[in-house]
Amino acid sequence: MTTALLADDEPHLLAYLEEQLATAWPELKIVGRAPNGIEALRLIDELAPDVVFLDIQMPGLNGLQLASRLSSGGSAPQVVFTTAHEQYALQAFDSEAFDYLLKPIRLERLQRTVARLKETLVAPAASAPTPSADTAAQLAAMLRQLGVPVPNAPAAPAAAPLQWIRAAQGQETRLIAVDEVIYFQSNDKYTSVFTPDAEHLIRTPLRQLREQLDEQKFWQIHRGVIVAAHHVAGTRTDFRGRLLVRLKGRPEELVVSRNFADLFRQM
Amino acid sequence: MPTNPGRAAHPLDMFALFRRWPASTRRNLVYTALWSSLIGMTLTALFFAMNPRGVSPRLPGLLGLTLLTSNTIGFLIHGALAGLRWAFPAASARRTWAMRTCQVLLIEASAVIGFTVPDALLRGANPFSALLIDGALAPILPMGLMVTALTMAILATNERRMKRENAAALQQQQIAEAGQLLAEARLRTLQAQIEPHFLYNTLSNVVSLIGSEPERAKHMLERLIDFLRASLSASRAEQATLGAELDLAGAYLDLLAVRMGARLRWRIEASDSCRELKIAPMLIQPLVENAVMHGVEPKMEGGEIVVRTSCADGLLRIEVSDDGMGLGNAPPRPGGGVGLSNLRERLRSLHGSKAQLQLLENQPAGVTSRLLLPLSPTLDPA
Repeated sequence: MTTALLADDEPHLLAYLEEQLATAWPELKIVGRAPNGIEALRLIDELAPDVVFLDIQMPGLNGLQLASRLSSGGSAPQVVFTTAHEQYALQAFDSEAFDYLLKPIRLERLQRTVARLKETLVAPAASAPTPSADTAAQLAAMLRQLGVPVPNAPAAPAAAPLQWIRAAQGQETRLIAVDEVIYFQSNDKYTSVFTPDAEHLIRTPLRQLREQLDEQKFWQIHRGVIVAAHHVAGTRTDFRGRLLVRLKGRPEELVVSRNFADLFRQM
Repeated sequence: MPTNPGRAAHPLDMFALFRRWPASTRRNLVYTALWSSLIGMTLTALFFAMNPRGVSPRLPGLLGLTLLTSNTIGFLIHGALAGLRWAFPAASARRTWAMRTCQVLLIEASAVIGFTVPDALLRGANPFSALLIDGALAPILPMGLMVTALTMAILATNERRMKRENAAALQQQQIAEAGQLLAEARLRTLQAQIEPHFLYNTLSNVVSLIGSEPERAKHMLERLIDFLRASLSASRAEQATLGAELDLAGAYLDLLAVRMGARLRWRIEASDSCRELKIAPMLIQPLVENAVMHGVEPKMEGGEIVVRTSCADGLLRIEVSDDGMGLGNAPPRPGGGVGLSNLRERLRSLHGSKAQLQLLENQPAGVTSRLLLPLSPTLDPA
């Protein structure tokens, strides 16, 4: 008997899929239901179903990440994605999965998928694409193209650039998006973080921050100052011959020390 | 001058160099002394140039008399015109013919007094008799007329220039305002856009419920219609009430709670007195959507979203809290990142620096988005 596992984080959609499968494929035995990717992975390992129906947007592991883990294993099930995603995503992994179904799922469409699944499962050597190490690599490439982080990607970058800065403010911890920051300035013990309307103090030393920031977006212009490139309005030279940076969103000007003046030579 | 120090012009304003010092009573007094002395010196120089060998009065004496005369005339005109502006502010702004006549008479009188009185005082004569003796006025009047013509010409030139500058400034301001309105409308429309995933997933849920739970399917469709109607009107309207915005958030959260089942719990805490406040539409919705998309939805066990509002001390405070994944851990989602920067841009164009958006990290988990909006007179309870 053919076994199946269903994964979807929305309970009504899971129940409805089960209902539709009961009509389209009465002999199918549904052995497991998972509300998230992690649970689905665990159940697939444990129950080894022949077919899995995976939602794409799920907490824990999303459907695409889950599929990429499955195909690297041995006796992988056939994967059918169920999704409300737009066309570009569908095209990208069309060839990788057995099939995809657009939600809301139409019964006729499901019946066609079921018919094809039955053929493939009876004769596994047939033309249907069986996941292999090769297709796994392809899928991983597609995932990266879609902007989905791939868990087991071999050449993953060491650490993603810093996205959020935590700054204590009284009893609260403020979250400041790195994109909002105009510049960082080191003080005695702290680092000041300047945004258009506020100054926050954090304990992280400037040197440590520099390593976590995206070099393309944040330039060090002084031993104690790192400025956001897209907030630089221009430069000028003052009467003492110092190079000053004018900022978008803040009135003050920042001094560029000689060691870093090369940054602005071409500007 | 006294009535309108900011915009009162001075003859020296003809020259761009002198316009660098912003107009004020003090500046205009200094300028009058400077302007009168310049005229006095020019006249002395002219006198010597035209009359080299005739009766040659001694230079210091002549220069002293000319400077005294020109400054007296200058300050008398200055005072007379300032007094006129102070006494009839409305009429002087309209520049009626009556006002012009008054100006001409006052300048002429100032010139006549300025030419005769200092001279008489220096000679030790009675200034009144100097003015009143038959024939003494005859040569003075034409000179006074010249001064009047010169001053009136300068006044008219300055007024025309100021009118031009005012019109140009007004036009600049209108252009800037139109640009700001356009930018605001564009951002508002962006924020009122409904995510296709949300729509498809919600409709899929409705379809899935129609057979098994028709009542719930009906409820969902009704809430979806509420949500769509509010979103569409928000993209057109410039103002909404806090209550309507909270209802929109409620419709959205209700739909998601049906979809996500037990994984999403939510509540809205708002006092009735705040609900009538007027606010710009689509300021709260992006925060609620973020709390769902980045907070509760990616978290396996789900979580709770609380929307709290309070209004006091001239501030409307709106907080959207979740106990979800937290922004640092949330996986990036397509379209999720631009919401906050759009919102910040809108706040800046709506309220300048008086509105704030703060993000706070919750303990033990999740994020609070806090919106602080000014309660200006236009935002008072309707």
